[in-house]
Amino acid sequence: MTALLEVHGADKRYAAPDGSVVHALRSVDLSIPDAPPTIVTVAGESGSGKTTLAQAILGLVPLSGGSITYRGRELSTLDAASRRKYRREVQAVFQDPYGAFNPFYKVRHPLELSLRNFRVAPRAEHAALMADAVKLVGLDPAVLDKHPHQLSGGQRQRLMFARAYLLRPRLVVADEPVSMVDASLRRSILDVMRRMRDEEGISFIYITHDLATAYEVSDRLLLMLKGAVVEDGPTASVVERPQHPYARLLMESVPSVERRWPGRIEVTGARVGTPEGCGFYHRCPVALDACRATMPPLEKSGDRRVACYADEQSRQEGAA
Amino acid sequence: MSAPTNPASTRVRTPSARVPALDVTGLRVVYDLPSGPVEAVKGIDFAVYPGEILGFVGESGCGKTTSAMAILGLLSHPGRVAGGRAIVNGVDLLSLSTTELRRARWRSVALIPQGAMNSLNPTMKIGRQLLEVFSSDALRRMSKAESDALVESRLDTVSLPPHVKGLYPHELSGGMKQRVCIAMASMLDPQVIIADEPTSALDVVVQRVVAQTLLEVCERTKVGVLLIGHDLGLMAQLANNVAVMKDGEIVELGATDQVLRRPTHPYSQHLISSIPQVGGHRSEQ
Repeated sequence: MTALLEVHGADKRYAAPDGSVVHALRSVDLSIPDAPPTIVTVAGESGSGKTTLAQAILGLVPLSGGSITYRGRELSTLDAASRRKYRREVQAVFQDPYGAFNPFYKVRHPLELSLRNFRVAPRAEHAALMADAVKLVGLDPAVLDKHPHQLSGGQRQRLMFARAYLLRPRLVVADEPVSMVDASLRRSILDVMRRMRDEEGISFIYITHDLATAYEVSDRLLLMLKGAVVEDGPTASVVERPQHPYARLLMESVPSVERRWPGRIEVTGARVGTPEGCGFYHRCPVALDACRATMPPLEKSGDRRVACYADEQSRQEGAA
Repeated sequence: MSAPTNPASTRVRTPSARVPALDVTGLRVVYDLPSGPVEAVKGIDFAVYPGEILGFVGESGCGKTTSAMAILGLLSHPGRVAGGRAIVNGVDLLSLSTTELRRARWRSVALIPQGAMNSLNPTMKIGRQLLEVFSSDALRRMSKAESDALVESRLDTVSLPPHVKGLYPHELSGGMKQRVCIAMASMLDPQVIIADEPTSALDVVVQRVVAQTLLEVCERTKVGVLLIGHDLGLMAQLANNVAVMKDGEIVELGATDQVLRRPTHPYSQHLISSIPQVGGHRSEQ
């Protein structure tokens, strides 16, 4: 069966002002199944390439190499009509719910614009559609007649999800949708994502650096580091039993009431890596010589894929 | 018990004769609003001991930052201190004049404000910014070699290499900038550092490095740290004692393990049960 969205070997290089090249995406693969609807988290620290990946999928950033196919057709070859259809079926929700609204208009304005733009339904039906969408995200339709400044960040962000839902998308790319929302209101937004998946069959690419919310809401987790995917598998098993050395460091560093951080992190790396090698080489406790010069490929390992030569070696030893 | 205790207070005293680095009693803050006065901090008592970290937790608006600002004399209008004492080195900070207070800042009590890394001056090299906390007099008495050595030794305490002194803030990562702010706060060897969410907005691994730096500075220099935050998991890693604030009052104060594992006040119980766990039990979907 064809996947809904397939990113294959995505590569992106930016030229830095000093003439050097920043490798923002390094041969990234990501696939969203056609069914069932799935929430896939793309997690990583700042600079890991997760937002570049989201922007490439949304067509906001051209790739330097690799391909993105939507329902079997490559994005760069779509004609105007298909591209328009793609723009409707793949929606975006961004980080800043404060900057997303024009303060002069009531909040119904951006929702109405989306309906008109894509000619979703006759104008007479707009009010009912908007009321439905607003109810789906747990708000009272009366909020449509408020101005942005009268709403909290959480309410605004839920309206952004309602706006996306109006277009009946197959996939929503949500880039850090909860990081600017007060901690106590985050759960309401995660609930909206869950409800849209379960009741409306919408898949999500959830971009975040926050493992707690990823753990809470997503089905699959891709962990990125320095432009490359280092681990990809079911969220619960990646979080509970991380395999890649970076994933292990990351998970043990999440502060928890239950346990103390084990030991001290050496701030200066033990060795110097290369841009072509594994992004974790300089701090990795189990690095091999091969990790310095080449990025280990993602290899299947049990229920997931892991990009680590040391992990691969221990698997082979285990099998032998 | 060495210090006098207020019978109505929620204070828990460590049973020892140690002198607190910061001893706050009956701190009250009132906002004079057009609709009438609003009491934002309702007479709180707590003590920060040398070489220890006291965590201040509670949701937004509970008064934790307001309390800290009151101690530093940094309340903005219409907020004002309506009562209480904050003793550092035998001096009540709340009774000082503006000039005296200015002298006490950095020297007795230093602040790492919220989003500190964004408050670094973008046009000034790190080394010069660290020296800014000295009076111009003191700087004039120092030779270039002396001030360089001082800056380098302070950068070293936060695990930053010496060449960082010649860099501008934009050349540093978020975690490095935050460690510069810790170095700056400890520049004049204060008795107390007040750190307001010093690791928020950082990735978890970087957060751990910054937290580890703060802990090391605290242990090495025996400075008392008042750590404001809402991340209870982080408090569990860093704080010796934790105070839970709600609506301007401290509802529970005690040893970190005690408060986080066996909270007695219903509000602390609620706060602790609502922490999202990573790798624990997922909430029902």
